[in-house]
Amino acid sequence: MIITIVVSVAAFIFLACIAGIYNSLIGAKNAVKNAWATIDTQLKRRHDLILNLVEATKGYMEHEKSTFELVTKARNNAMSQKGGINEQIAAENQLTGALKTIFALSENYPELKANQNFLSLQEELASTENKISFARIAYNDALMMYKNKKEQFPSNIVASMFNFEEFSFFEADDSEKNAVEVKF
Amino acid sequence: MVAVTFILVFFWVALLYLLLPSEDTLYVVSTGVLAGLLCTLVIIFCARKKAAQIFLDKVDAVEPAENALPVLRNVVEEMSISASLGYVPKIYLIRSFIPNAFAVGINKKNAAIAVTTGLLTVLDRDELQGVVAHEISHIKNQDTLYLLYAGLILGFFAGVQQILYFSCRSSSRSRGGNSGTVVALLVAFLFAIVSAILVRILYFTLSRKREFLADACACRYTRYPVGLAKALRKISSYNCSDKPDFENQEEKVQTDNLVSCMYIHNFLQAGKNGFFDRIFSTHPPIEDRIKVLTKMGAADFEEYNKAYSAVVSPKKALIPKKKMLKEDTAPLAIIVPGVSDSEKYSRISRQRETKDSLNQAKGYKIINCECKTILKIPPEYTRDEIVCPHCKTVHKILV
Repeated sequence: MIITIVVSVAAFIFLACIAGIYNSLIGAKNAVKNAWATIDTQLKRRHDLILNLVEATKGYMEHEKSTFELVTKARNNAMSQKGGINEQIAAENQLTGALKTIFALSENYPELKANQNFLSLQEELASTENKISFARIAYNDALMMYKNKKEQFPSNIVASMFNFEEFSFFEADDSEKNAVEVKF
Repeated sequence: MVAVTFILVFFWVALLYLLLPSEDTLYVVSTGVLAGLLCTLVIIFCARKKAAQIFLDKVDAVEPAENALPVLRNVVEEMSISASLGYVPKIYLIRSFIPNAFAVGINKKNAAIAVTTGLLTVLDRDELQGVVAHEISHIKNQDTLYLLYAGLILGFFAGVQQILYFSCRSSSRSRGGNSGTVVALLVAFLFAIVSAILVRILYFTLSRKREFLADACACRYTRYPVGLAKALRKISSYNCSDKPDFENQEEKVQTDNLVSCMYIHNFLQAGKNGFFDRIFSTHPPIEDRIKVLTKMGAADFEEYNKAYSAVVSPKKALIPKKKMLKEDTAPLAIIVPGVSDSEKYSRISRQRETKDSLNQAKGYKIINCECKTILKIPPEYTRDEIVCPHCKTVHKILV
């Protein structure tokens, strides 16, 4: 009788521990997926904004057709990218480069620079780029937590039992690798 | 929360035990536990549900329209993504020319950031980002709740002091002879005074620590400590006493005792540097905060800890090891934001935009006259026509 009770209590505690670890692993995995969803939403928003920007500036900058073609091409390339996250980011970086040309060229068109629509699009684009870069850090943080859980004892046992999937980190681009000198 | 409840119940029991030296100890203890538990639960419930709204109402904060203030809205969104908050706090505007901001709430329902119109006028985008990040970390770290609980204990001891004072007076009049009661009351009285002072010091220490912690988190979220440092310098260099209308009703929102401790910079304590001022202040000296921020060579917690111990106290680290292990996963380099579009938004245009959205939120109607005059009609104006003061055109006011 006593043995039965002890065994069943032990079994219950064991199962409860496994359930707890499993749930925390799922929580960490969902945090990673959530962070990725945020990046995805912002990337889509960026593509929409770029379309608006091209439409809004075309009329003012008639001599810069080649630049617009470059941007549109880079945008379509980034949108059709279905590979890993790092390939996608490479395509996005190319798009950023092309966008910079538009903004640099816009300096020559004072009428465009005074346009309220253009100004607000510029703010929205800058903000979306910020959001993407912050979301990437948040993604890496969430992924680090998930990886730690997956590899540390005892949760690694549970993780290997249920076959939790792998994700990959974002690599920092060059602008982030070089520490910058700050003047105050 | 459990700890707070426990402490309050414990003191209720101790207090009643000392006040009612009755034969029936069990009776006293059980009533004490029940009364303490009930009071605590009621207060905690109110604090969680209503506190955020009380603060916002106190300073007469209004919610700007959906499409107003795009820069502020974007910055708040950016920072909630960076803090992986999972939602975007509500935004409130306060009419006050002194730059300041505070945050309330702990969850999706009640979290809000309130900024003054002065803040939006004075700061550029990068500085605003620093301030918003500081406020978002208050929400993320659940600081309002923390301080409310600490405030509850503080308030409780203030109450105990009052009760003891009155009961001492009344009992010495009525009973007089019983020396045991007098001694017990005397001990309780001393105990209450000493503990009240201790709790007060503890509360202020806690509050100051949370401010430093929010600064540290803000660096992590923005990855640009200089932005916050510049913002703090601009805010603190704003000299209130220069302005003759500081006694103005609009500016009282900053000097109110209840709310002043919530702001990013407490103007009530500005310029006080004595020993007791330091112990009894809710915010660390702003110069120290700026020094720590400018000393940082990277944007992670470890770097902030180093800078903190170099500037403030060499022995104690600010951020506990546990939190660092959990959140500080990798060293973060400082990223200087590219030449932002802030130059395009001049100070005057920012001021105009902020004022307009505040007026809009307060129910003002805007009429653009043909002579390029902009008529702003307050909600108190009830007639259905208005004459333009420049070109004398009569405008109908649409309801």
